[in-house]
Amino acid sequence: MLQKQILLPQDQIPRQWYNILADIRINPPLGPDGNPVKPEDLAPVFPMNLIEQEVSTERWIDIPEPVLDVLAMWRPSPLIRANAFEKALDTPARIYFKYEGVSPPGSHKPNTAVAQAYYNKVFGIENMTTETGAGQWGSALSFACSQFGLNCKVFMVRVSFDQKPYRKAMMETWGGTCIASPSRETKAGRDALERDPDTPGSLGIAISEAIEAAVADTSGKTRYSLGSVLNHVLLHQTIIGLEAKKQFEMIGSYPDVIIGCAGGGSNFAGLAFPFVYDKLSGRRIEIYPVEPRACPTMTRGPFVYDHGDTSGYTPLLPMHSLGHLFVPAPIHAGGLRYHGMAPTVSQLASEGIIEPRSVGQLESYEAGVLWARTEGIIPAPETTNALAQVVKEAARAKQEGKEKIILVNFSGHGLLDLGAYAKYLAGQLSDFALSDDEIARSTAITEEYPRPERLKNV
Amino acid sequence: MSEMASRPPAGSRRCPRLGGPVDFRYCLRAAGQGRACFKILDCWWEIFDVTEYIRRTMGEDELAALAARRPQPKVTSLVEIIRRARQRLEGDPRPKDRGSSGKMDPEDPGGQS
Repeated sequence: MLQKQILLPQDQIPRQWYNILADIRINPPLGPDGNPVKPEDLAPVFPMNLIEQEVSTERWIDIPEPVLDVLAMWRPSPLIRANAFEKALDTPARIYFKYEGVSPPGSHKPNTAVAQAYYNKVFGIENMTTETGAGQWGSALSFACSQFGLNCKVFMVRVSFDQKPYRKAMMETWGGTCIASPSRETKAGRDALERDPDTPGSLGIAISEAIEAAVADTSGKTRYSLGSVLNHVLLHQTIIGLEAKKQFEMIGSYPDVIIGCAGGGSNFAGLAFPFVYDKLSGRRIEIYPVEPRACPTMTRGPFVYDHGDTSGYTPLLPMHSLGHLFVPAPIHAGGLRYHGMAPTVSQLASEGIIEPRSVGQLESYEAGVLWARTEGIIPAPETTNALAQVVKEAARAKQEGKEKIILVNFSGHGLLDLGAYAKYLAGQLSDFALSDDEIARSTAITEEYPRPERLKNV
Repeated sequence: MSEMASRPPAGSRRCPRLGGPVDFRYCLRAAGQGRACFKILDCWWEIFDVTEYIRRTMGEDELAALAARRPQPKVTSLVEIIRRARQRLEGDPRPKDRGSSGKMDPEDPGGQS
């Protein structure tokens, strides 16, 4: 029988996170006054121990024992050989996936939720707030708070709250409080309801409510939590890649290609950053963050300072941008302007240390369905982006006649998000793409702005 | 694009920000105060001619403003939202709505699913 799963013994779980800020320099976000945003600006919503992690440049940061005790419920997560998927693709490549769907909420997100709950607890915090869309992050934080005896209040966007009562049930089962946003609990919510009593809510209102709830507690016992983008979030996720490296050592192997889907960047970074560390030390390895072709900011947009609006209200920030005055023609209005990527991921991409790839939604769902019919697990929609890139790399390996080893982060299962599969299976999705000329025209506007320093870390 | 429908479909699509299905009406006011989500063009262009629809129903200026909207980076938006929350709690009037000028409201950053 083929060794399908490589299981790292629990006593070999990594004891430290890897902090990539020890090994790369990044351009800071610039405030309205042109100066970098200061860590203390965030003190009203985050405990100081997490803010210290946010700006730390220590390479290795100890994982506290109480955090490991909770992570041990499902970690180390299995490294699994996708041999049935390989066979279906008729590829000489060997494909491995790090399965993060084994966590209680079904995704990688509790890797940081647990750590954040712990650090808030030891800082003396008793209540945590957050916002959630469809409920994935809210579920993860509710679970984490239950492990440390914290109260958790989740403002869930009304439209999702009504659609997904089982997510609310998950949060409440773990002891969290899930409130439809806008709510009457905050002034932000009351204002929104006053303007439109029938509003379906939005993430903007929900985050305003969650932060107001934290700031309003004058006892200082309430803080806010964020599950993506920030440096300390990515730090906590590096346990994924650190485990994977140990698992490859167990079988005397090492991957040639690393692949992860990149939304805010946390699951990609969690797998990839420990391998970036090796690459910075001279190891040859290809690392691909994958984003939907509908929003190819990293793959197509240049790395520039740009405003987030048309009239310069927002500060200049280093980002992959297609130009803030870009007006899309009908055929390519799709997904070109999402700038939610973690700064460290953007920096590595700008240096060519990681090489962004984009995939279409049809090929993503096609890969997801093939995966489900071979490996059995139904992937989360965002995970299918990574799987589509795996299919491409497997085909390239076949073309080159190389037995490459591909490692992909399987960030979560899709059992609570089957609506997208229903649309795909009903034939209701289609793809378009942009030409290079169209991209060039749209980015001309940023030529008048200063360029971020091209920091080189290798 | 002549084969594309010029009217919004009745069905829903997956919102990449929420992580769940929404209909077009949600996207038209998802930024609050009657304003459309900054991703409305990104999300619906594959399904119907949303650019032409916005131009026809809201005008060229609104289309240009909408196309220019983008979220701030997370840290920057957090700092701004904290400032606004304190203003509200201190009883100060909220900052004037920037309406459809194309300026991105700091309270409409990328959220978490």
